[in-house]
Amino acid sequence: MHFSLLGEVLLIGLINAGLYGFLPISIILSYRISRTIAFVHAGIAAVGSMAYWLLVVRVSGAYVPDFIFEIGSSRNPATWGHRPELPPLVGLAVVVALGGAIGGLYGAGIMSRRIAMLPVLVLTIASLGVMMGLIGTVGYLNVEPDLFPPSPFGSASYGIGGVTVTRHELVTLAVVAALSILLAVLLTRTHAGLVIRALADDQEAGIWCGVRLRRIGTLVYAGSGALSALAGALVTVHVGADPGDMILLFLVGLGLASVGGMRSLPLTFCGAVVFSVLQTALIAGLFGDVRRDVAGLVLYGSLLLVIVIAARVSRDRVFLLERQSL
Amino acid sequence: MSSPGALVWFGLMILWGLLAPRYLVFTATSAVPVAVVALGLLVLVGWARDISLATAGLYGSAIYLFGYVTRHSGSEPNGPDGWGLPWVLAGIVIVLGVAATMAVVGMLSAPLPGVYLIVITLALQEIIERTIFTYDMAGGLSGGDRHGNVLHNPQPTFFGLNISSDTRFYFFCLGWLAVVLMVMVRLRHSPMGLALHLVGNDRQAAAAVGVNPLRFRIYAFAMSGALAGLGGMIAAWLYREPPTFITFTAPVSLVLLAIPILAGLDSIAFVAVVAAAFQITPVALESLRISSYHLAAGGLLGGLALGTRGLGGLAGDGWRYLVHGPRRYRTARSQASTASLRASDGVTDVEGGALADEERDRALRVMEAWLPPRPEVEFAARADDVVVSFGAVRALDGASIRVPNRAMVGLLGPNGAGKSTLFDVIAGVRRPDEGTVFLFGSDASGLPAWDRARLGVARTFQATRVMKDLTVRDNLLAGAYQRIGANPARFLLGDPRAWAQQRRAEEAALAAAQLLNIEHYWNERAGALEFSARRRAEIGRCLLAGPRLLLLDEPAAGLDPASSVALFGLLKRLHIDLGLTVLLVEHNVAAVLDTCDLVYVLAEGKILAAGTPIEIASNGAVRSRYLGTRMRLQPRSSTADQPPQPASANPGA
Repeated sequence: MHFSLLGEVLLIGLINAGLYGFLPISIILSYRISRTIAFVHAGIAAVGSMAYWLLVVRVSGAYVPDFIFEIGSSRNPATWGHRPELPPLVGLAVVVALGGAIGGLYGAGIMSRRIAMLPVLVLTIASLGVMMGLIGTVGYLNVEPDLFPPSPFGSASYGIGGVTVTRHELVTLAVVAALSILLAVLLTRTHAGLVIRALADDQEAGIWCGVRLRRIGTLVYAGSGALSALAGALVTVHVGADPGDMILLFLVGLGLASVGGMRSLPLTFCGAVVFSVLQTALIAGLFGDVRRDVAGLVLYGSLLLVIVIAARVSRDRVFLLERQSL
Repeated sequence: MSSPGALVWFGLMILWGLLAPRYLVFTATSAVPVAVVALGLLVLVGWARDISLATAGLYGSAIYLFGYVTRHSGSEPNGPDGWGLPWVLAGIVIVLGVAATMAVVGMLSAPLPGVYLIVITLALQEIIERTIFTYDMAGGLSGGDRHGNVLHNPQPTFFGLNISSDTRFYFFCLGWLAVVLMVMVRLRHSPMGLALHLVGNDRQAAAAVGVNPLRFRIYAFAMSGALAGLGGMIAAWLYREPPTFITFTAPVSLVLLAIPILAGLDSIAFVAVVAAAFQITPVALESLRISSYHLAAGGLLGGLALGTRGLGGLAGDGWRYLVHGPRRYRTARSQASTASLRASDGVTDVEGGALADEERDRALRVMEAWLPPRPEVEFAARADDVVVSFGAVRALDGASIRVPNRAMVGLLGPNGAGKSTLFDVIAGVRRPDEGTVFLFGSDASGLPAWDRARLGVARTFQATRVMKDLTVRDNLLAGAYQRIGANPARFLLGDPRAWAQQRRAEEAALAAAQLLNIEHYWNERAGALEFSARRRAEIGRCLLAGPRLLLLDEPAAGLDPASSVALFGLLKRLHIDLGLTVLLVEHNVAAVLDTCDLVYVLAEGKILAAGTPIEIASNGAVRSRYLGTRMRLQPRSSTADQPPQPASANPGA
């Protein structure tokens, strides 16, 4: 153990938690209204990541690869090569709007009365299908994964406790923390939150109480979609644009949402902090020189263990009282 | 129709090997391990209705680890590492290892809500990617190891045959697939396959006929893992050098998942067809650069559009159309059958599709031979001082009930009286806070539902619970699992004695269908039947479980008055002819008073009254609190030989 690293590990871990904190919020919001894991958010995050990169990075070259033009099209590839080169903050706003639109569109479809009543397994499969479609489609776009786009919050950095922290990281962390608290209040203390929770509990009953299932569902999915796209864009500043990374980010987010019982946003944020600190500790060598495979086992094994324990503690034995798994 | 479909597909694959260009033969070979893995997912997703997003990880692990354990370490200091096991032994180690891993996942996630299963399997996939895939001795990172050796997977020697050429290796792989398909078809038609379907459709219904849903869930996970391991073993021979781990990451799990979903959740043959299509399409349409993401998206969304029966269901419907004619004729037949049931008041001895006396006698003889001996005890069931609370609500507050052997007992009461809760307590679905349950003289308070079913308790549910995608035959046979009782391995190995037991069960199922007047629907999907026929199919499934005590939860719920009367007549005849003890909850007071020997009335969690139908109809407390004072009821005389002995009602009743 190298305890001298502890302070830095805690600080970096806390700051990086912002990166892991966005997607669990989207996952929980969607889950609270549809009782389904909305994998579509991984796809929207991938769209957000790629769109942000394409909108703000200053490079030449076409958006789409040549082979697309070779498939029965006579268009001149050069006309597709003009990039808007938007200011990063404007680019971010466009990406958030795009994410909201995709999320809203998906929500309008999936939360229609006919489809929303389908079994959870069916809705999960739909979500997985749309996610794969989105990631597959943006995967065709031309980006350079090693070229990181600029932060929408500027490039300033600060020295805190011997650690260099960028403004991007600080703003990201602040936004995630604020959103976790705000949405927790929204869900538990407002009428809108009550409506969302009521729909999650019993959609049929909610509808008969006059709740507009499709409208509320569309709004929730639009909001969570906007958050997912925002997450994708902000992470891209750190790791570059790679749709595959968004799946990994989603998987971690899903694990963290499970730690919060798929309902508690503050608990999920705490989980993100612990996960991030543990990851930083393993990478920085707080526990000595740990092999990569062992580090992976410790990190994700711990997450798995916490999920199982949290789920077992929070629920009674439901095996025979639930008719099906999904 | 899995068996003929598998044969047709297999014939086409042989032709493909003989006629297709060499590169497409290799591509088709690569579909074999994928098809094997997808067949494992069919068991898990299609039959048991669970899900795993770690399949690609397990499949990839099997490839790397099989290569590792069969590779000889050699004598050089920096040579490749390995255990040098013979492939047969290595295969057993890998298949059992992967099966055990999945069984642990099934056990870990069993008490949790289903959503956690997705999370747990995703975490397992991630752990595999971070450990086995990046372990620098297995070759997942670069195809080599940490010493810089380029790794090779040893090729099998198979009875001295030379299988090194692409075409020969293709047929070698096809042989493996044939074995897997044969096992899958046998499994599907065995009692175990039907039990898996029942568990996937409804755990409570499975437990109610003696199938332990927890155990079968673990079986499904283990089988899925075993086939992922077997697929990995075949792929290790196919690729000869460890492929990069990118081909086995989480999105690939979704591609694999898409295969059974598009094929249909009960189509063995189409899983193999779709697996082949998934491998061949991107190669054949190379210019389109179809990504695995789009394949998965197409498969998942296509499967969604086609419904749970997928492409296999479409093909099955086409086949049924060709053989049995359009649906409108089948519907006309079903309507005629329903009309005959109504007209007969449940006693199927009228003209127009009903059973002749000798047919009925024969069906009763078959059922009598199928059912276990009825015990000679005073009470089939006894629940004493049962208390069940839901938070502040006391659903049952010291209720006691006794069900005399060979009696037909009714349980009446207003909504919220606790009837279904008492039913659940007797059936073992819900454990009481206080009180005891005796079944056939022994204390069954601590037994789970499936063990109570083994004692001879079978039940139906308020809302009809049949397997809508399966035929009436399959629905009935699913109940026979515990009565057949043979070791599943004997079915898979084709033991004639085991299959003889299965044929005996089929005879009993047909007899039950005749007695319940649903034999016309024998090969129809239960989901396509009218409501009354579904209800009778559910009762038939209970009969196949060999009940000594039949619990019927509102059997006439949702039926029109004529069908209700018919159904109660039918139940009464079964009760008399087969000597079954019946306990039923019902709101149709007249029907209960007309058919039951003994009636209990439950109100606010307590027994309000108990007695013969005549006593209940004239009971002042019952009339004032449940029946209403203006209601006039004149029950028919009881058919019981001796007046049954009720549990004492609560004071004041």
